[in-house]
Amino acid sequence: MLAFIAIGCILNMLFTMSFDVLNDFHQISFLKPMREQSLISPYYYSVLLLLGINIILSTSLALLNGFTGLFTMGHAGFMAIGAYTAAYVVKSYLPTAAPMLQLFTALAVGSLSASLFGLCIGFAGLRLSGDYLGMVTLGFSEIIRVSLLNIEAVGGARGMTDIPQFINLGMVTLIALIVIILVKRIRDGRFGRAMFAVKENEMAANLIGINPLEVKVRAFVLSSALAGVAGVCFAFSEGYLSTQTFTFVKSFEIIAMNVIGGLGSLSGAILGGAMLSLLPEVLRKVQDFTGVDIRMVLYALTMILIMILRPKGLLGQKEWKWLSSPN
Amino acid sequence: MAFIAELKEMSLYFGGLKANHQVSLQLFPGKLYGLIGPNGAGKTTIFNVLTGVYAPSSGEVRFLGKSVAGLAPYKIARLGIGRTFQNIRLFKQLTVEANVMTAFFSQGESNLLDNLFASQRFKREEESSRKRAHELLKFMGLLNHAKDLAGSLPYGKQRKLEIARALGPAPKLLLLDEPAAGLNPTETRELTALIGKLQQEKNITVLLIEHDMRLVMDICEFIFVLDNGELIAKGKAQEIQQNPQVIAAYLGVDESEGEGE
Repeated sequence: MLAFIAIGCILNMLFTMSFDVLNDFHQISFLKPMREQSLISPYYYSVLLLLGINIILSTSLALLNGFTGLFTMGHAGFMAIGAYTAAYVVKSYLPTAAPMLQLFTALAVGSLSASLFGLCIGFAGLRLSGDYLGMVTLGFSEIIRVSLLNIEAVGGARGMTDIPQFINLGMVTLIALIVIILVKRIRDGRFGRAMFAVKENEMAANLIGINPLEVKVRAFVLSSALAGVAGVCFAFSEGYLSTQTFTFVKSFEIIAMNVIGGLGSLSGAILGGAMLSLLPEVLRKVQDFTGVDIRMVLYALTMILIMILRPKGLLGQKEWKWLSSPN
Repeated sequence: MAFIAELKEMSLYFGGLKANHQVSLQLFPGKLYGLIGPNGAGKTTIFNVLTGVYAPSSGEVRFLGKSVAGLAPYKIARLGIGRTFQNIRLFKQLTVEANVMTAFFSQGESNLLDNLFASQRFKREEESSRKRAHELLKFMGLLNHAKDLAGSLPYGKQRKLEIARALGPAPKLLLLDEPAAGLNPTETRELTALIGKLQQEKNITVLLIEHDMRLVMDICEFIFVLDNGELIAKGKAQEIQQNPQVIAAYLGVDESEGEGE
């Protein structure tokens, strides 16, 4: 934990002008929005922020889609639940509390609320498998989105505004690192092995004493909790929430990250998340250079090319060394 | 009774198809049983009923004196029935040792939080289950493959690995579905020796389905013969070999029923 705080302080120094770490930490300005004070331009700051959030999302989906073999198309729904619940609770009940307290409350509320929905859909939908489960989760996430759109307390169609912005780039990076470590630990432990077992041969897993339903529900709860964390990061760094962010397009983007990187590989999920976050921005440069509006065409073409050249994703089943699995 | 497992007039129908009809058999602890019969005789469905994959249409299934008919497969596995499959079902993307370690899942005591925080309890459990997996692999002669991917093993070793995995939950009854299928004569001999060793050293009751008659006659103390879903004979190897009904089932009696093996 100390190592994480140390990394967080270093990242904070890197991304902000403040080098007075101890004083920072004392005053918890460590948690203030740093977009304006950052060493890097606000544009790059936003891109990196999105990158961090996307990596959290992609990593969390790897638990379901990659490790347990559950095809879900509603990950944006879990993210929305986490974002909206945490934002609502902090805004309504802790508007003047210390940022540190707000942060931990937001993370706890966001991940718990999302995992509660994960639990529900786990029990409701897990008797289905394959494409059918995909359909159920897709419908579920749309129900969440449309419901949020019609709840006035969270801003309805206008969106939710004035959310305190206490999560900065350093914090998102730190949280993303923690999420990666947690997912790695799960993957390498007995629960992770059970997930792979269920994915590869549910019947064989069942016959050596693994309850497949239990494993799947666990995966759902964990994955949705982490998606909720991503939602919290998004809400409290942007300061504004709109249901437009959480459409099924977002869910598909997260699936694409996993597939492009390599389904079943944690490193792949990270690489895919990074690729799909940075690619549009890199292509923006290309567009500026050529002066032709071909960004999204190139984006789609790149994805198609990757899938043709590397049908199993960029990394396939492989892992980077620091994320390698003992299993 | 002292039966470890018992089927009492067990029938399994799929619509009009009688997969098993009024099958009764008893297994005593510590013995090695064979289950033979022509293709489609209903041997594997008996395994499926014993392990909870199918619930019997009628009749009783008892294991350790407890009725297990219709119980979920993972619950029956935890009670102590292990099995292997006719078509190998390994977790091919996991390493050999991880395949065996998955079988310790139900005995695990660490919870998700232990795992997330990598607690001492979690680390200790991981270490001990790795050690136990290595012991089982050593028993099956696969220890030098521990870190290989299961899918990369040659066929014969995959069969052995499946047995090692089935031994993971420390079963009292082990069901082997054609363990020698696809093996060459040397591998079959090795496997035969292993099954004998397993039954003697670990005192596990074994019921095996096999088409290799020499293997069956060599090691099985008692043999059940199925044909068309019904139990047509049971007894020691010599009795079975001379039983006219068994000969008829395997070789056919006249042209209309002729069914070669």
